[in-house]
Amino acid sequence: MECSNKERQNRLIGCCKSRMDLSYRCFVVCILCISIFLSGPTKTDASATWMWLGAASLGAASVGRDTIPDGSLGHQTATQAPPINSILVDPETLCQRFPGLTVEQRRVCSSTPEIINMISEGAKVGIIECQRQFSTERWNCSVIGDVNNPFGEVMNTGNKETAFIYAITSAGVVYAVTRSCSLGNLTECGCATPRGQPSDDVVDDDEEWKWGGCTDDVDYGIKLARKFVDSGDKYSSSSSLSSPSPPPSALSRPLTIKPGVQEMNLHNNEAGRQLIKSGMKTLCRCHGVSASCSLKTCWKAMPSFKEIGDLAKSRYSEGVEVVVRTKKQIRLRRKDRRVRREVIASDELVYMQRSPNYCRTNREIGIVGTTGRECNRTSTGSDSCDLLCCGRGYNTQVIRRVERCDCKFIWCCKVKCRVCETVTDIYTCK
Amino acid sequence: MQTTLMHVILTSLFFLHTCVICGSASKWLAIFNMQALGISTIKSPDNCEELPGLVNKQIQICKRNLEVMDSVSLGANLAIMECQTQFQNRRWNCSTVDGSVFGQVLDNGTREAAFVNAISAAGVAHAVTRGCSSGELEKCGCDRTVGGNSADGFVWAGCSDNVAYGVQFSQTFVDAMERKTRATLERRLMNLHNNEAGRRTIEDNMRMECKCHGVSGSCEMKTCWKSMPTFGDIGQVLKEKFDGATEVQSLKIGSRQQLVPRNADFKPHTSSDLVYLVPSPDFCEEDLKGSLGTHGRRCNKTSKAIDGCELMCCGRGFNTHIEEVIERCSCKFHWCCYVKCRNCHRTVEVHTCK
Repeated sequence: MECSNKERQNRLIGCCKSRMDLSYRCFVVCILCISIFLSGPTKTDASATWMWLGAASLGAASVGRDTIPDGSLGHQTATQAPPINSILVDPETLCQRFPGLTVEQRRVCSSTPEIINMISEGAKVGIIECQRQFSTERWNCSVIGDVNNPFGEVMNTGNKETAFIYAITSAGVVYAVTRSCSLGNLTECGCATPRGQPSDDVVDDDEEWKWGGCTDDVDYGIKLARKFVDSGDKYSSSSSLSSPSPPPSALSRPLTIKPGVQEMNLHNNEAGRQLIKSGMKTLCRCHGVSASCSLKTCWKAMPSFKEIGDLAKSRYSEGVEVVVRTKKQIRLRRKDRRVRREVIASDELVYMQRSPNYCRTNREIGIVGTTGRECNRTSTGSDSCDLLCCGRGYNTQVIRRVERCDCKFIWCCKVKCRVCETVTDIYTCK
Repeated sequence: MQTTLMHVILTSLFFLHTCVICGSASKWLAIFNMQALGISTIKSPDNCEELPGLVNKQIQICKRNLEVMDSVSLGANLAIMECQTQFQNRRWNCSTVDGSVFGQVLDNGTREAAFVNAISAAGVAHAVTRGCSSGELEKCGCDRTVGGNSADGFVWAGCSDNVAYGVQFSQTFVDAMERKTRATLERRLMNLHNNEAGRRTIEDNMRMECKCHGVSGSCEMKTCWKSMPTFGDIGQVLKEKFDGATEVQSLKIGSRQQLVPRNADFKPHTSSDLVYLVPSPDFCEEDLKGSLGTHGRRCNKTSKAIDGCELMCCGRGFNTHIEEVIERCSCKFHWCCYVKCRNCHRTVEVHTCK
């Protein structure tokens, strides 16, 4: 049953070849695996397929098979997420409906079927935040790929953008899971009891306080996210060099997993989770006669996801370029010789490849390009026509908007408005 | 002085001759060169005929306006220098090639050609107007139409730039080329439009300069006059128009051929916008069409824009070497009266495209 555990087409083929002569049983298993593979998308090389759950629930473009869509999320999808109703459907059947989950992920799903909603929600907030953070940049976190690979080849290149996607979606899962624990939507978890003292800036020394309210159980969220998300990026039990890179699967583009990619992805997953943990805030509320604050109850809460996004973006800007050190084990270390000995902190984002410029459409490496993107003529930032259009210049379009304006309330009782027409120029990259 | 003049004459003649060889397709470039280098030789009407690349009409204009031709030459120089300033950080950097001013890059109706047309027409208009105001030209002077008391309480006085004369001259001289060339009608329309857009840029950006009179500059009385923008400002405006230029095609509307945007969704261009017919090449590699490529060009390692190494070198990567710069530093004033400095050596990292 080894090959079914691996659950990847490339492994399957390997299994079939090597065991062709062994037993009929394996042959049946292999056929089964292949049929699963053919019927639904499976795990491809370096992409974390679970992210598809978020992308699909956003109504993302299904595939850019013939044309790469313009990157917006407005397209109706052909591969919508299956309707999730964990109460009515048997867990096994439910989890079978999600293609691309690893065995470990499916196991988590079967034991806690509601979790799949949270994962989907987490991936969604992650992707939305990613798109918000990068809305003015050449790479705008657009969902262009298919179920196998929602972000296209960016997921396989091991650059800063790859690092950001991993971190933000992983943080999204922690966020969504923890949030539903606090809201009581999950039976396995609830509120946590914090230890220690709140910091000085929320509670003075002479004030009376106690832990109360609902502290977000971020540890549970992290634990669960670690179990689910990380299993999507572990390709083999050991990350030693002796395990050969699997051959490319039939559906994905011919890319082999480079040594270190798995370690990089896992590190960035963890960095995303740490962002939430380190961003936890202590909040207090006053009690007493007319809010005299004779007693304070305090609890710990997660930061808003926007704050997490901002933090992740700054980690992205300070991303650490790493190289793979391959002695006994694959390990990452800083590329910069001057700081090589410094340990990579768990909340730093790491990348192995320099990013391309994302200017021109290049289907082979899954770059949409910036042609047609709206730019700001007067800005000097990343959304400026100069930077966004990579020197190609811009086109001008006139947008007419007809709106109701100057509305007045007239006694009694109607509202009278004028119709205003506004004409604005928008600029799009050539 | 004499030798420099001789040098200029010789160079200009060399340039003019090579440009005749360089083909009729870029014939108007010859006029550009002539303006840049040849006109200082014009002393008598006969000189006008010696200049190749001019169409008959231009020779006639030259003969009738010998004194203006110095300004024309100056204007062309201004245009080339400004073009090189505005484009120094781009892949196509307005460099002069093989004697013809911009090589064959401008043979196609690209955005770059549009810019060069506009800036050269503006250069001629600017320099001639400047010549009028400074009194170098006898045929023109300050703008006499500006005068009287203004409603804002100042007096129009002083020398307002006679931009109408400069623009008029540029129209007759520069546009004469387009009316006689063998280029397609579409290309001629494009050139004429861009020439006009360049001149419009001056007219649309005229500004008011004022001076106060009265006890210790108290501004009891103020006189103002109209003045042209600096040529650097014009270059900048035209560079912005270059970025937002409209791709057009010529269509027969009624009985006339007109330039209309190739994509009907885009905003139609105005008379001061630049238009072009074909998209520009990427100018990454040297080719027969006149692109010089970007090998060996300096780039900015930290920039993400077109001057950054990533875009400038077209993904080929770059070399880094250390250059030593000698600067004057620790300057001290000694009584009286000289300044003594030390020479400081500073090393800078220079990045050049592979």
